[in-house]
Amino acid sequence: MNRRNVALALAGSFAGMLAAGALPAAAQSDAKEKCYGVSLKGQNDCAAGPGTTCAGTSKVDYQGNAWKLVPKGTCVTMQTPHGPGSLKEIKRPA
Amino acid sequence: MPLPIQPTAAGVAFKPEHGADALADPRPCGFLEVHAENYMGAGGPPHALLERLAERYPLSVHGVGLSLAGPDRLSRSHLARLSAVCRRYAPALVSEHLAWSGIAGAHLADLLPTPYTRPMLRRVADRVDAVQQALGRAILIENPASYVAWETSRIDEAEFLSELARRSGCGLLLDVNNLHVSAVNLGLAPGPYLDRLDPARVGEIHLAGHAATQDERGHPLLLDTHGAPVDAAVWRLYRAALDRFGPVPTLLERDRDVPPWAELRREVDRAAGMLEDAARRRLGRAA
Amino acid sequence: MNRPRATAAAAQRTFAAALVDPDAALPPGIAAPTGADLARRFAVHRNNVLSGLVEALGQRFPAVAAIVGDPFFAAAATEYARILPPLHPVLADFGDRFPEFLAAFPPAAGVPYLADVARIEVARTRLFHGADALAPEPVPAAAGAVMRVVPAADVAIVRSRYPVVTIWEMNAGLRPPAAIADWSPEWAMLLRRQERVPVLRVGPAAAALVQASRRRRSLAAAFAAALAAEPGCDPVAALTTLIEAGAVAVDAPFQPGRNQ
Repeated sequence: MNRRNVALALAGSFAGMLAAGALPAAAQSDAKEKCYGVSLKGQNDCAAGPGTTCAGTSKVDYQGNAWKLVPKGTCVTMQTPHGPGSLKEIKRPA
Repeated sequence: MPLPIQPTAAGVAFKPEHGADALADPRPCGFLEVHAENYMGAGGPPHALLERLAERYPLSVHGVGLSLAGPDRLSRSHLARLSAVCRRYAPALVSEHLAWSGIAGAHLADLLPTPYTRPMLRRVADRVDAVQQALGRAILIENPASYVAWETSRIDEAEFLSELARRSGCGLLLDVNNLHVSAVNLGLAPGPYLDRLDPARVGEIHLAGHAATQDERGHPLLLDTHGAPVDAAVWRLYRAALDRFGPVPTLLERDRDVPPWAELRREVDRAAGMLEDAARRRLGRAA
Repeated sequence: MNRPRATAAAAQRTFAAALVDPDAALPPGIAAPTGADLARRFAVHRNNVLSGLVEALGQRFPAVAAIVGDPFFAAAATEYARILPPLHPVLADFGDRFPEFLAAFPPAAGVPYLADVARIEVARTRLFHGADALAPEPVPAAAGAVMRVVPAADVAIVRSRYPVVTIWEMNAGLRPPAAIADWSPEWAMLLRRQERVPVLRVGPAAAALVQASRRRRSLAAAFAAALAAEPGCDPVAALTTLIEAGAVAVDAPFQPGRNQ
């Protein structure tokens, strides 16, 4: 009996031992796979000529003590209970 | 069993979004080309798809990361990964670029211009030799799309490539769009460039679209975007290349604003038609 | 190494440094035809580098980009690419340290869960390109008559103080972004299953069992670890879920005469 078969057999036997509702939550999420690696060549966004913002020379907007850059995606909808910019939540878990 | 690429084959640079269409197409195109670096992972869906495609299409593996003209030593680890891809798929063609892509510890994901000097020619020839030894086969080297030139350059590009091929035994991948872009940007004549290349060395041709712009001084500046259909001037130059070299496996590259498979196929088929014409002209001449 | 070559290498290094430094002067030694704008031409390379790298990050971190919006993402990714450019040409790996970067990026301070979403996306891509099968385990010399919890797939766990799986789902197109009522922590487990990389919610018990499987711990030791991580949990149920998910397996004792 190989390992895979052993695992399947055990899973079956354990399933019989489970009390109803004892399964820990394990919602499965399958997103559409789009994460192909990319290698790039000959790609250029600056095709529009003078006046366009070019990634190559752009800088993060920073003035004095304040970053002028503000996130404006879905985070606007999904605010933490402490609201945006809450310093309490910034400390990362170890 | 890996499939061979015919001289009159017209292929396309493969995009994963075209996987299902490429597998289902009742009339497969001449070959598919993939970037080696996209298949350097150990496994997963990219390999699963490419393995299925390899049963229907001859493959060409096109590297963008060896940095053959770079200031640092050839990356042994990257060469090992390229070798692994080539062992896995046994592609009909393997190619890389006459370019460099940064410095040790900073791969800058662009193909940067090479100083065309004698020492650089020796360096690139030694590296192409090392790559060919590692892969156990000859590779093709592609001409770059240029925006600036090095003041130290003393050899013209066609001569540099020809001498590189003589010294290392490599073949050449003539990117006709790159040649047109460089010719406009740097003020070169593409005709004499073609005349300087040895027809026996040209093993593949690339076609692609570019964007036509002007710089702040009103000077034309073409950008190698791979984001548009092949330009009329590039088709004309392609015809001139076929006249000189005869039919050579030809690849259409499209990396931006990628159209549906059927639309790409129409451009590929145009190249296929020109390849057939070139083969007929060649036969007519021989008769 | 002769002198011309050393000079050429130095010139190339200056050229490369100027590509990622927006304040750098034009590198010496380059030229364009008379009448052409050399700075504009060099900017094509600068832009190829930055837009290419930003785009690579955008492909690897679509949920992060959705959370902060494209302009913010492009600015953050540009900073990251300048500070930590790729080490090698396989860009599928580029961004391995983007989560830490985002955690310390001051403009992202108001989005404290962002780094954890990025951790999920790092793990997803790594598993997506990972080996199709686990490397075969060497048969232990004396396994003993003990059942062991062993890995059944390449698995990644992301521990978060935020409902990170819910947030990821809302930004990976699996459910619409909405206000989240329950900000309880969620941990994510990711694994490769044929062509897909599912993201599952797991608790501390399951995470402890996954950890135990990597060390090939005995069933008893693994259950003890699960109970220590999550007192009052049902470790058998947690193990069953993991086995059914294909994350771990239980290795049978070595039996002489039956091992073939």
